[in-house]
Amino acid sequence: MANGANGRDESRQKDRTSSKYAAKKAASERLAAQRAAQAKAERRRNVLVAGGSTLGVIIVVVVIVVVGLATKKNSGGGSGNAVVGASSAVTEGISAAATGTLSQSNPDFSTISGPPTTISGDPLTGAGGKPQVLYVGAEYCPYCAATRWPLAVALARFGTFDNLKTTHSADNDVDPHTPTLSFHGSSYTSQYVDFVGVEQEDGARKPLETATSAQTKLFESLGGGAYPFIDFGGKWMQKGGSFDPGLLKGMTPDEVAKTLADPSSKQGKAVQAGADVFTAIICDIDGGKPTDVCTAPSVTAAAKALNGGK
Amino acid sequence: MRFPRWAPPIALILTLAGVGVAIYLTIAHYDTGVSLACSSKGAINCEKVTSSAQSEVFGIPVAVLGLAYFVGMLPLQLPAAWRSADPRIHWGRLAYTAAGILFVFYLIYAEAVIIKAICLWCTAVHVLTLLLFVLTGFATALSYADDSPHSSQLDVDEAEGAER
Repeated sequence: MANGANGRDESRQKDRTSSKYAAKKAASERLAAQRAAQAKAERRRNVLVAGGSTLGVIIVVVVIVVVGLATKKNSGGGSGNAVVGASSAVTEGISAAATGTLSQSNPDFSTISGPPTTISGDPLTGAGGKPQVLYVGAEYCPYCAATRWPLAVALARFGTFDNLKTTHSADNDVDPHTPTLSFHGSSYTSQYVDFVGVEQEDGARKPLETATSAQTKLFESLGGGAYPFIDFGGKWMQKGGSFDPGLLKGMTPDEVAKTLADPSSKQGKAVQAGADVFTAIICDIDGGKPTDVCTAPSVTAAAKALNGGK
Repeated sequence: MRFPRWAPPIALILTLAGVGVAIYLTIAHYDTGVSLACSSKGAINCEKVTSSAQSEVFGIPVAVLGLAYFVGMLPLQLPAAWRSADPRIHWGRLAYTAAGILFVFYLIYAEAVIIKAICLWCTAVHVLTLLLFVLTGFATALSYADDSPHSSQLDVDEAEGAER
């Protein structure tokens, strides 16, 4: 009897344990399912955040590009800065720098950008077989703005400019309103070298002068189509600016002209260094003429710097 | 943290591609004898972009900054780094890619609005930076859900199985 009662108790105990276990298991499964649902929801939320961030990045990029395209159209319709005949202060400043700075025996070339490099190809010659200096730029371009000063000073050592103009680079570009010259409509005469200045676009980026197909080929193949580009007789070239246009910030062309023959000014120093380098190159392509220019201390120092100090 | 298995190898490949393009741009920046294989006409003009004033930031060439960025990214994208249990590595990786995106915004602005020319090789770098940001973002988002306190005891797949 006692054994039978014990057996029933054990059986009831087992049933209770079993139902307790089943309830615990069901609760555990519910909890697991709940956790899984929460994890899934969280994963969905995180993926949405990541997707939203990606979409945000793409929207920002699209907005920037659209703004760029819109301002491109607007700038095309702008009016650019005035182009006027160079004042006597400017022409005299260039002449003074051309002759007065040649005796500098130790010019500072640290401001030079580029610098010019040698190229191989057919010699570039102009009328009468003289070596030609080809400049391709644009009136709006700030790097052209800086580069025209030393180029004009260098060329003034070999010949004479007529009808030079002054203007400023575009106000809506980097280094805005950089004071400069324009070669558009000018003429240059020299017994040593031929000069062709092509200002392809005006201050408002509108077409101004058309380069010949041969000039365009050089500009694009050698210069990469970037302003300014200078080809010195097919032997040397300058790609990009000669020095930092920021040095001329806030100045007028007349104020720049005043600094040209002043090697103590940072503008005069930069223009002179650039002019000496261009002069040394022109001397290299025209056979070292005239001698007084090509053997001047500042020019021989520039030639030495161009040849790696040798 | 449990990251998707596809994330580390793809991220590493993208980073190595970024290092490669950045090396090419850096060489082209310093060696004037090396020209970028890129159009020089119209809106696509690598030369115009890489020789612009915006090609340097605080006097440092952008090409060099790009190279430094991808070289810095390399240890963060190694499989060992993805396997690391240290959450600082994973959040640091995400922050690093986000910082890259912010700089890319500036560079695209410089190209589209200031220089008004697009450099294809620079765009390749921008796309790689964007892809790394997206990949890192999604991988981190997925892993964070897996590793969150709510699901710390559960693998997401197991949870999905439990629901079924």
